[in-house]
Amino acid sequence: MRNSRSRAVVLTGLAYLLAMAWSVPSAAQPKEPVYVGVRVCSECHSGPGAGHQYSLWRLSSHAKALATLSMPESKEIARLSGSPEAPHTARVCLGCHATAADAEEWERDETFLIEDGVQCETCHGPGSEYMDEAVMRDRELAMERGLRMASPQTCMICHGPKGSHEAVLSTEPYVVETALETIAHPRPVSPPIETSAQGSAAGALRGSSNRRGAGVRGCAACHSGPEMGFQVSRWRMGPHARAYAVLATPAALEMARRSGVDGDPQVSYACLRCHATGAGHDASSFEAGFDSRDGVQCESCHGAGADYSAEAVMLDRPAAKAAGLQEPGPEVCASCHDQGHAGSPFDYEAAVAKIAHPKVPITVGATEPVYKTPINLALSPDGSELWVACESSSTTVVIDTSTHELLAEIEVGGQPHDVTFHPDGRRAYVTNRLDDTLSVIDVEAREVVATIDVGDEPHGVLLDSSGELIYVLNGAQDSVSQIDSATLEETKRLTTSRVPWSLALSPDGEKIFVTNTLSGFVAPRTTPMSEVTVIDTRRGVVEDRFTIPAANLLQGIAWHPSGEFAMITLNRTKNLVPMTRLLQGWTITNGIGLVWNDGRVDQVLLDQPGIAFPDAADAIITSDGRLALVTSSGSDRVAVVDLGKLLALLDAASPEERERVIPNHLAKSTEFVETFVKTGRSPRGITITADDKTAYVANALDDTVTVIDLERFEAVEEIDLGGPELISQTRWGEQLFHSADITFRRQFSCHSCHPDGHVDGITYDIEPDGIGTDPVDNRTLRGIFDTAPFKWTGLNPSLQRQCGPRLAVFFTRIEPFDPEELEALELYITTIPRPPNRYRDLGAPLTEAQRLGKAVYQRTHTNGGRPIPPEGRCINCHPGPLFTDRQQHNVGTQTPLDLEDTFDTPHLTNIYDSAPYLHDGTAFSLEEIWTRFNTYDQHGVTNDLTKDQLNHLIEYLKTL
Amino acid sequence: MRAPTSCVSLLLCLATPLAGQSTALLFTDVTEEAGIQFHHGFGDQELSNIVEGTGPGALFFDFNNDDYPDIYLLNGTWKAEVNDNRSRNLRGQLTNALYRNNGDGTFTDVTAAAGVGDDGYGMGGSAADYDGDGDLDLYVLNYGPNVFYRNNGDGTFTDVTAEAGLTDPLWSVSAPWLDYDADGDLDLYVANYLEYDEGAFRHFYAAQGYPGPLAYKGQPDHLYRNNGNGTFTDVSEEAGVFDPDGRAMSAIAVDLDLDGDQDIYVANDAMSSAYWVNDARGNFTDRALIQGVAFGEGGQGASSMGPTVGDIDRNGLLDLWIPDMAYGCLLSQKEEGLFADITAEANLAIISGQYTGWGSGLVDFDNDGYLDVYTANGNAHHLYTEEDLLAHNDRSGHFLDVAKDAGDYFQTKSVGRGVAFADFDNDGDMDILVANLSGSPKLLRNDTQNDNHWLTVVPLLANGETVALGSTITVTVGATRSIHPVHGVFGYLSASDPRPHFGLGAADRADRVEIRWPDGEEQLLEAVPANQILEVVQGAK
Repeated sequence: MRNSRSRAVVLTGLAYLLAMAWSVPSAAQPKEPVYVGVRVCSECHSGPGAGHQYSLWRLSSHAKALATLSMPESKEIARLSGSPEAPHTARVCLGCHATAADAEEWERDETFLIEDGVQCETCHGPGSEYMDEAVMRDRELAMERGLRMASPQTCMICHGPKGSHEAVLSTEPYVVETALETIAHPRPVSPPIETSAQGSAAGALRGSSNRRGAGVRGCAACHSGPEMGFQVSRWRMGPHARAYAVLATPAALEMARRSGVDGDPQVSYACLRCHATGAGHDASSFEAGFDSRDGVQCESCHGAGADYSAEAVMLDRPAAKAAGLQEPGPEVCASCHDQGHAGSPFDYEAAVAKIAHPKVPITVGATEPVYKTPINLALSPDGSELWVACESSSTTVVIDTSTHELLAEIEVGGQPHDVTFHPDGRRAYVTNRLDDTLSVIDVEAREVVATIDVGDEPHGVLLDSSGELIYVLNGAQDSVSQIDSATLEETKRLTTSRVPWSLALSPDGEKIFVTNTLSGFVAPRTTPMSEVTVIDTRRGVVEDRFTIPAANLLQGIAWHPSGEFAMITLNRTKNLVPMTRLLQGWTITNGIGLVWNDGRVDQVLLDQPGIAFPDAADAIITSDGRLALVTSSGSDRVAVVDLGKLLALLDAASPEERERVIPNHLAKSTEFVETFVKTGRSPRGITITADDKTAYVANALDDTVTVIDLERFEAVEEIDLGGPELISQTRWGEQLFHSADITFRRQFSCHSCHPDGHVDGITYDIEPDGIGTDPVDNRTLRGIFDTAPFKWTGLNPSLQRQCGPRLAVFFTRIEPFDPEELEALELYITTIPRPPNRYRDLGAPLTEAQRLGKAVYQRTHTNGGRPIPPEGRCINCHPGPLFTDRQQHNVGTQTPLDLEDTFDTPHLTNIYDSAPYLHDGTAFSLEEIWTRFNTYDQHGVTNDLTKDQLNHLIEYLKTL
Repeated sequence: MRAPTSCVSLLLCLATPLAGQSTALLFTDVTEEAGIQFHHGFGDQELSNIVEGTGPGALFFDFNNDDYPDIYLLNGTWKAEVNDNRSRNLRGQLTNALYRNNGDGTFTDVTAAAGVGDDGYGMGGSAADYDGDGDLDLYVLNYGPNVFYRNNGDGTFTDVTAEAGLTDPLWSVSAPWLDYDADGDLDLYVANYLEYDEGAFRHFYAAQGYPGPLAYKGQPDHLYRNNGNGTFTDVSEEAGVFDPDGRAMSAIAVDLDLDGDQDIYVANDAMSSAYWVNDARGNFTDRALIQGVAFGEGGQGASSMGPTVGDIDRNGLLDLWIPDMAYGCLLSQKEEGLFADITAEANLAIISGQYTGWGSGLVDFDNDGYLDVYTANGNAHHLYTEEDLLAHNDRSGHFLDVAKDAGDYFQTKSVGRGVAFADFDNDGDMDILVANLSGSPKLLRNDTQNDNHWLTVVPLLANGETVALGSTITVTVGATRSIHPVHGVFGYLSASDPRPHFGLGAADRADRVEIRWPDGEEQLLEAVPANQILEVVQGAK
């Protein structure tokens, strides 16, 4: 015992010594490194001694990566990546096409130029801390300071197969080994033979010798971007931009030898004269920032520019000419190209055509026809006009209700969703889902008089009976904005349940009922529980929250004139059992709910034997309270409900029947549905004239409004909103996505589980693996094309596989989409836009919390100083720009219900808007992923994090 | 003081000589109208280490001998080993600034012309006439090598750091000048803080944001002997002031024990402070522990900041006041050589307790003859702002918090650090200059309205220009004596105008003005009229 005790003392002492040794300050704390740019690296990594590393890069595709975003193909690729932004401003594109594109301003040193595309530091890490020569000569120290030697896996983060690119470009499949050979840039083992020739590395400027050169970067300040026809990008992709770099190639050396130049062509005036602007001039001839290694630049043809490059001078063409701007002619080209190395004579016309760079604005929007996609509509208080919010065209169409003529089309914000009027009829209000704004429209002038910010993804909008307050539902923020209609100031924001969708004012004006389309969070393996939020309009508070049990996708809502109840549309999704009951019509059932004033709810289905009522979208009740009209966007019909019969049926039923039988009964609606009226494609919003004689239905996917005669229950007219005649492949795919025609007895559509192309927030048991096993959380479809493979198992390599045979076998139980349909459907899905990130604009400074969270995301050591193995770091499996490595990993989340322990790594873009999380949706918030489901540090090493640090991490995750 | 200086009330004039009026103190923030546009930066966005959180100080010094104190302001910089890369764009953007006092209430930035825009990581500074040429030379204290500017006498300065041997590469915070060896020229004590490790050590209580002073090894202070030929020699060890593990926050050099030689008091951070007592031959012994000035707050190694000296209780002995991150520490010299902590009794603990005090001063702001307290406050580890402290001495050694009635300025908050004092407009009352971290300095003009009288005594060396640092002035009115050592460096990182300022209360003259010159010579002036700046040249009749 004595021995062991003394040993323990010794060990403790040793541990103490070790701890001391560790805490003795030995080296500076690693600093957050800064990108310095290729030009800094090139200070050493140029010339024959360095194996011409800079020039090799300059000749590579990496150097053109950003410039290529100006190509028309890029627009299409961006569209297929679900990017609503143009490629040169889209984070997802820039993430791979430029170094440090999404970095904060401070993370890019003054020497860094984003125009240089994919530079050294993309693979080798930001350089500020290791770039000093002394550090670079000590590889170990340099690695400590952040130098990375890229592995093939690094390349695959960007070069992994991407559906969006494959669909547009006809490039060879990427083979990393070949690619690495292509970009190989070894330093020579032994120094190359010194060459004797010495010369100026600066090049030739055109024009009088007393003018100074500004360099292409001076020109780029204005001549970039779509408005200028991407002029600098065009130059960058052309041979002039590589003229200096090519001098480093063996072919150039050979050519130089034949021409009698015996030195290094990159320092030989004979070569530089035509290969670099400004050759033969000393540094005083150039503005700061001029770099002769940019090759043949603008000023070789247009004259030395320091005196005319100021914008004010350039805008005054005679003044610019007086200051040295020149219009190049054949003689300018000939001065070099006549003595060119090409065997054939110089064809001036062809050459000029090849490098043409007109200053013609380039439209960066998609080339897809612009459809209307009417979603919701509203009648003006006097009934004379029908206003229709059109999602795709970002407009509101005004229709004369007496003639059904189109009176106007008013531009509003992106993806308008709902429209409503002020009670006085002088103002109309439109929510813009993409822009997070509310457009305020002067009805008479038909123009937007104000656009105000509201919460994320606004859906429904309504005014109280006095017209003083506007209520806007912030769909992606689970809140209602209350806005003063006079000042347009937001006065308060109330909390709803998940994704508030639509709202209706009670006949006495005292209450607003709000439908929430996603279920609240529920325990695993339990039914959805949704909410109707009750707002007291007098006090402007949430007065109550009514639970709608076992229902989800609450959308449309209308009050009964008696004020006793409101009718909502709903789904009753049987998500706890596999879809084995589909043939019995018991997978997703569709119907309505009567929400009584006291919070009681009656649910009835509108499905009937043989044909279901998929995607009940909106409801309206006649002013006499006799009829309710409900749209089914999945089956292109309106159900006409006889409310007298429905209420009688409910009255006659026992409480047990009302609670358990009727809500699930698949034939009850035959007793109270008068008829179904056929509409156009994908009917969504519906409204009724004050005289109860006419109903209008917005047909989202054929750009029409169906006019229903309520005396005859017939569609009497289709008002064409003026959308394109041509149905593009994408549009066709959209129609397929929203139609239940593909499903056995039309029980549901793709849209049923992916409203807005997004999520329904519930966990399904959809696979043929036995009842109750492998529950999976629904995943968003926004911008997913390049995140293949799909499914939580990562087993589906393509969307076509996902939506084709698999859908037919397990979901629809009917013949699958044919190949053309499948292609169209895939195309549509890939174009479902991922909204811009709500927590951070591209390149915006991070907040303090976000910045601290980023450090946690990228950290390599625990708080206690222990190294974290790569697989335990967030960034290892979730690298940008998609924030997934597209592999499967075991993150310790397997439950007894899961047959496998590895899961697909989800992308994290806009991760904030798709709770719950983890493959089985058991984490209700991002926080819970680590507070409840990471006991053993398998999902990243996180258990040493303080509460603050976890908060910071989550703040950062939201910016991705 | 903008009131007539004659007695308006016969009764008050006839009362005890010093029983002047005690109207409310009033200060006006005149920074903007004075034309001071300086903004301090610490080279980063957020405080992330002790270097960033320590500065800055400020100086009042009359660089052009026009008798109007000028202002020198210290600035941080972006330094790779200190600051985050996030703020790299601040490289070379932050420099110190010299503002010339135009004598009309305004100041002009003359940094460039004077050539004193050092871009080191500035902390503090001090000024003195080291070469006896009649103008004030400027020593700039940096985290990193210091800079010594010789005044050329024509409004410009020359960097003579290297030839003077005053580079001192340590983290210098305070540098009082003193003639420690009584050889007639000014020597220099450079107080150094600690050895920052560039962020290697990262253990700290999370709420503090970064490690405190005890996480680092201390640094020795240095005593530099003036060789009389423009050079200095480090004599720290032979003079006995060498402490390799001190963590000085600031220091003062005065004849604290009134025995005729210059002593040094060093406030060390979170550890015992040092009281280097001079044996008249230039040998120092640390008597802090034995005399009760090593620790504060009941024996703790408090986070002592800038020490300041004065006779609070008018017992003819000098007391010490050292603010800190809590109650502060008022050490009263009850009898010769014995100090007692009376912070709580004096009520300063209660007034200070909620604040983080840094620069401070014992200054008679209302000329009633009793020393009041001003302290600049600000959080130490975060850019959390605090309002400053103003406490009025009620003549019994008891202090009252009078900040809330002393002007709008006291409703504002900053991250305060150093404070310097001077009667910058020569109107007979003491004004205040506050140096704020990551903010603008504040020039507070004393606008207190009362009829009290004052006297500023300026002891000048024989050249008629140089204020005789190290003198001690004693002013007697009736039965009460006021002692004032002539020194400029006190408080935190800063230096004040060394011209001694006395409030005379109701008395319209001082009965006796005694000057003990640095060389020990004593001079007596009698019946000196009040309300004047009295220049006395040593040896002149």
